[in-house]
Amino acid sequence: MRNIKDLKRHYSVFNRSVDIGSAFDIESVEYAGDLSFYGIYPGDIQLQNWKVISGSSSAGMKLRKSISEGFSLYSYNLWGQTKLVLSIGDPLLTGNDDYGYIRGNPTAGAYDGYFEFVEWAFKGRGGSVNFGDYKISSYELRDRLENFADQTGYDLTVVGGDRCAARNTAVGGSKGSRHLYGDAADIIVKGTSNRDVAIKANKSELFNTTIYYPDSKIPEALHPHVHVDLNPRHDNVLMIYKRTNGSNRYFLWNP
Amino acid sequence: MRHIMAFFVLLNVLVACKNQNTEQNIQTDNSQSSVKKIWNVVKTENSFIVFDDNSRINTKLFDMSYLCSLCDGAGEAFFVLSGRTCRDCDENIAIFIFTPTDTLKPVSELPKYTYPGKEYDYENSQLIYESKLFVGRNANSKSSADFLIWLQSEKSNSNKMDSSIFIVDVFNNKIREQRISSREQKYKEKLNLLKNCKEIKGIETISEP
Repeated sequence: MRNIKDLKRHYSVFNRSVDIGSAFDIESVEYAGDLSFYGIYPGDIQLQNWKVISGSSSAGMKLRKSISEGFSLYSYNLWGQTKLVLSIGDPLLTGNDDYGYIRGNPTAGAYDGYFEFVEWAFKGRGGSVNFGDYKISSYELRDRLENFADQTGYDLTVVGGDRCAARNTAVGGSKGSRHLYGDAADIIVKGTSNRDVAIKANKSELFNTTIYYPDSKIPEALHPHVHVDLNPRHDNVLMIYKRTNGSNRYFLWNP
Repeated sequence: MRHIMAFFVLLNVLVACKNQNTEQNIQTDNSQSSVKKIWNVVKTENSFIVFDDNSRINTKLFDMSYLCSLCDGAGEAFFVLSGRTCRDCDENIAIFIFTPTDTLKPVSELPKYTYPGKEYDYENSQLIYESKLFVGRNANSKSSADFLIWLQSEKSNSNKMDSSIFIVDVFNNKIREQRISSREQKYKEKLNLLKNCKEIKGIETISEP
């Protein structure tokens, strides 16, 4: 079993609410220990709707490997909400810091994305997010940015965050901007093309909107970067910005 | 005992010296505050406003330009600038009002107003906002503008275009703002303010995502 301290770097990954979407099947689960301290009793743990994906798929192998190396995975029902917990070691022995929750909605069907998460969580590529002087009010977006950095190993630099509304407008103008709601960020990764960052951000499915701003030789064009946000009206939309005929335009993008 | 006495004497001397220094500092501060600086803008360099005495102020705005100054006659400087608060980002150019004391403020806290022109929705290209910006100049003042007026029309929640006038001026050394809807009686009166105003040319933009 790996030393818990070695895994500390990845602890932050676990201590977040991660939307695992439409869940997955689990057949057998290694019980992490006595959780009565936290008001969770074995009777609360409901496993009948869960089963492990065994078989020879690489996804299944990754899950088994993670369990054998000290991760535990279990579900429980708390106040009518089913939760999935990924634990490193025994929470009572290792302390509160060493385990966390992944919240999910257990329904039938495998969810491959989850296994990617396990692999990433275990290996932890160790990217970072530099928020600089920019404020991002949404904790959810901050978490997802760090999550994205961890997945990709990118050192993200935030170059735009919350904005204030113009004081002369009442309801129109850029009031629809997610920057005004605090759940949008403009990011760059030094040494990596914005195109790659945008594509990976979209593939990660962590953001509701991703917009790629390419490098343009037109002086009036907006500077190259990637915009991500949690616009509730969007579902993993990927767009591209272009400066054409003297004005800014946005198009759906399928690279 | 002698040592203790000597200690107290020394302590008194030190305290007296400190008080004297403080008084001198206060006097110096008073003399400084009585001299009011006149902020004559010569040019801008990146995020800096440069004045005729070669002093400069960092506004921390990007793509910054100086448009004019607002004044209420008391001589305080309120610079009307265009720019954006971030560089590698999708923020549209906006109008900001900046005073020399704002250098310690985060740029996100500066009073911000839309740049004149037309703004289209970035998703469906529909017009959502349109404005003209005028700088009103007081006949008694040669160097300072007195007010800004937006003649604007914006898409409301009910998808109709609502017209209004938005006036910004400086009163009692503070920024004063006034919105007058086209449905209000004084709307037409206020339109008279546009006479002899100078218009700042508008631009076409797309709303920020």
